[in-house]
Amino acid sequence: MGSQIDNLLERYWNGETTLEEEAMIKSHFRSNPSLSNEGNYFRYLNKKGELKMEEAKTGTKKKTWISAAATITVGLMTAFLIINSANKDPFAVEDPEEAYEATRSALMMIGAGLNEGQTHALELTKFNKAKEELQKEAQSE
Amino acid sequence: MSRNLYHKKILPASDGMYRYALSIVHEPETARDVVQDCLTKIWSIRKDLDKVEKVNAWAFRIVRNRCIEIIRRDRYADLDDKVVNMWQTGSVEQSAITDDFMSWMGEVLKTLPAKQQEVFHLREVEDMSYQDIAETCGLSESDVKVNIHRARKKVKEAMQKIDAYGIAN
Repeated sequence: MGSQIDNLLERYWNGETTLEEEAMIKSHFRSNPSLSNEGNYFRYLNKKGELKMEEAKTGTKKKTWISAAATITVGLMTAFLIINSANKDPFAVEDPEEAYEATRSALMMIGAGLNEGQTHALELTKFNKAKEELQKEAQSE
Repeated sequence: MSRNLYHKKILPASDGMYRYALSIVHEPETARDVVQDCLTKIWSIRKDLDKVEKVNAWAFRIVRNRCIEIIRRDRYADLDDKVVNMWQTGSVEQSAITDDFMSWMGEVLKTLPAKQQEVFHLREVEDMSYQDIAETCGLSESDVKVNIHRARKKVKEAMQKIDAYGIAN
């Protein structure tokens, strides 16, 4: 067998082998774990011939899938951020107790303002009184 | 009948067509596009498939033409005239030190002139007859033989070099 394969190899490198003989050489090295350069060379050719278009396809399918997933994620994050920022009041208070306190103090402030307003309004009534008195005086004259 | 031919002869050859396209354009996506284009083209004329003498070589020739169209469109040098002349540059020795045998062999083959790379691929990887290769590439049979022999010779020399330097295996 050794001399037969050597003979075939010699003819191969001289470009004299037929397709059938080349197939014999290839199958010899497919089953023979020879680590010689020639063994590696024919295994290289065998391996090259095993490449399928489908394998390459799934590779890019994966890539497409990943890029699609990335696009969707980025899109969702952007949408989330936009919706969030649109809804969110910069002065919003999350905690209910704090909210209650804030509302109470706001109402107190309004109440105090109203009271203050009322005292000023009372002062205004003085003008009314004065006006009424002036009117009365004018009528009596 | 012609439809059968498409399913029996063309579709099973599509992986070989892909490998051939890849050996010319060197880009998996472009090679796949080439094969898809060619399959569509062949499908559209499937009625006349039974008039084709050697369906396999004919399909490979369509792949080759499409590859050349793309290469020309992309303004690469003409495939037929393109000669990659890196053989003397020492890049092979360099890569022999760093890479394993498989990628080293890939580099060695890349240094061959385009025509030799092409016929070498069709013979050694696709197991095509000299006659079919000649029909596919538009060469004479003796041209094919000479180019394959030269390619093998260079491969052998490269392997002897790494043997002499004791590099790789």
